[in-house]
Amino acid sequence: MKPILTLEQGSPQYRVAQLIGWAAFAALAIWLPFGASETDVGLFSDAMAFAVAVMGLNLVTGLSGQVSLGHSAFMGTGAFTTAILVADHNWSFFATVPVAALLCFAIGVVVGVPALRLKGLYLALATLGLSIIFPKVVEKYDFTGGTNGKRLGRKRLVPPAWTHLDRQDDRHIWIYFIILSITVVLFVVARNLFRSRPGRALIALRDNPIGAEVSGVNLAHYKVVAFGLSSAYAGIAGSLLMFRSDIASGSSYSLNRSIALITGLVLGGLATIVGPVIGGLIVVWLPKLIEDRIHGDDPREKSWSTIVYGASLIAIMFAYPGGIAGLIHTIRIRLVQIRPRIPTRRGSADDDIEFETVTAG
Amino acid sequence: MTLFLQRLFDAFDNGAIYAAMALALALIYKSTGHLNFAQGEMAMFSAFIAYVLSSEQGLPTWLAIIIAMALSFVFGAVVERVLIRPLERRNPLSVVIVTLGLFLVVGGAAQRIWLGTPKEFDTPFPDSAKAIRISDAALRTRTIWFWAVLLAIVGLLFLMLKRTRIGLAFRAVASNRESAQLVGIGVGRTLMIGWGLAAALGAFAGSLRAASTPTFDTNLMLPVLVYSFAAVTLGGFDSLGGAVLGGLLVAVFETMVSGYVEQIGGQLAQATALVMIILVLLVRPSGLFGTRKIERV
Repeated sequence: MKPILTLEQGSPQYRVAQLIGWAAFAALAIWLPFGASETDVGLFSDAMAFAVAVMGLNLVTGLSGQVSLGHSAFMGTGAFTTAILVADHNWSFFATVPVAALLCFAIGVVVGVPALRLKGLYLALATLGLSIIFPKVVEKYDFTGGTNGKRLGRKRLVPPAWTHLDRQDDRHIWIYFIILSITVVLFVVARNLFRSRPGRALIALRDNPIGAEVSGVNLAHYKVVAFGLSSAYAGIAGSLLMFRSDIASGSSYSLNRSIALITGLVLGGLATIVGPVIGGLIVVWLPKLIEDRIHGDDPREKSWSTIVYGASLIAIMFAYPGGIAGLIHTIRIRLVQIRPRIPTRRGSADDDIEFETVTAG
Repeated sequence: MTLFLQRLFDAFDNGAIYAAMALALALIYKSTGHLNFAQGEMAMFSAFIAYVLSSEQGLPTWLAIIIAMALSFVFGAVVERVLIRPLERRNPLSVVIVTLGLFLVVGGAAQRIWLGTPKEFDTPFPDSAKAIRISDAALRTRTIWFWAVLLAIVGLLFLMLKRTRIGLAFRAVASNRESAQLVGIGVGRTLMIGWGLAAALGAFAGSLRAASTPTFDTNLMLPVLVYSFAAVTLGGFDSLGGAVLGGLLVAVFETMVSGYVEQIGGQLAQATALVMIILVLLVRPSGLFGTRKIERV
């Protein structure tokens, strides 16, 4: 099949197409909180927070090929950090986000140092322990709210007056935009990280550890930092969830949540930028869509969402290991062909310089 | 002293269960290099099958457990053939992801069927409530039975590995899969048997666990999974004897720490498994009996 459109990378047409794509995406994101119902806007806000956590997982699984089963615990740490600082210490919501990130980074490094200097599944083992004890730890102590969970009390994220969104009915719009902006920033950072020197070093490690190490990549160092960052992303995600929710409870950050994040990442597309966005949507919407189809209130019926999660995880590994992002990519290259820019050499001095920058980049 | 001895005896109880699960994990790791994260959920499902056969169908408990083990053997072998083998060539990550998917499917299915009232499961051993008193500490008959049966199973397993053709094939596959294939060993069939045996051992562990708690539900094996991962880490992933000893040591460590350290207590007992894993990784990553991996470039 011949592609409908052929674009040369870097050409004006390519730029225009890229611009149209981003503009459409931005328009959709800005229209959404005004067009959708309050419940749905809330769910999309959650989906973005989860997308951040899935992106965090992507930094460790996609980049370094290691599995973390502890990202639920990091999300939980973030959520509880925000809940405690806001409810008991009168912090502003925004100030708690960096604290959550730093705390999770530190925990990630502490767990990562022993587990990541070794090859193999050790990270999965250590983080499995982490996600299983996390709910127990927060349920044990009073400062984390015990078995009832940590409540925010009357503290809420209130939009400032200049937004004209400070009526109770419009609060969700403000929260949506806050989470959207933080998510966009974190995704840009992650994208740059994928293309940076450490990112390439990690990909080299994933694909050929010995080769990479021989070429001078400090294996353990990069992996530990990547895992710390990945944990920080999950922590921020948990913190963002608290912008909307009024309670953090240990049971919502159990092992199943970690596996749900992995499912989101794999279904969305490992080692891609779009994958985690799709993953976040899946983590929030898939259980919701399934529960909507359940008739009656037998609690056992809820387990269908667990079964569907697991079955789709297995199915995608067999049918389409690239995930939905991979599928979109395949369809796109059928429709629109993007030719890499071929450097030309015409003899003028300017062209020569340009040629050099192209190959170096 | 009595308290210490009592705690030690209590630890033996859990130790048998952890040891059986750890053995199941090590069996698969030894032959394929994979960890089956669904092992615990599969064992939980098997325990429920044993429960249905004995409590609902009225079979004797020991027979119910044996049938559940046989069914689990078949299930384990099918999982290897259908889910694991096609992906194995791709990369280790896909196998991990598929076992996590299986974790969800098996766990979800068990919840769909059996969520609700906690179930009771009788112990298959006679005189289980009785105990032998050693300087005022009670060693329950149940514990002795657990270990007697477990050691018998381990003995049979070792006999099978050392004395039979299947065992020889298994060891050959574990030591070098390609060479095993070249000398005409049916690698696929051997791996299916390995996964089947592991699932049957899991069923045994699950039934013991169900019998040793007053009531059980679908969360039966989740804590056990963490302890048995700690046990295989301690024993060295590819050592079967190490897994059994590791299971016992992890149980002793768990009981002693949660018994004597008030801050940990019963609630945070599982933290001891995490601490154990991290300690082993820091001090001796190959575990007590594991072979050190040396790679040539």
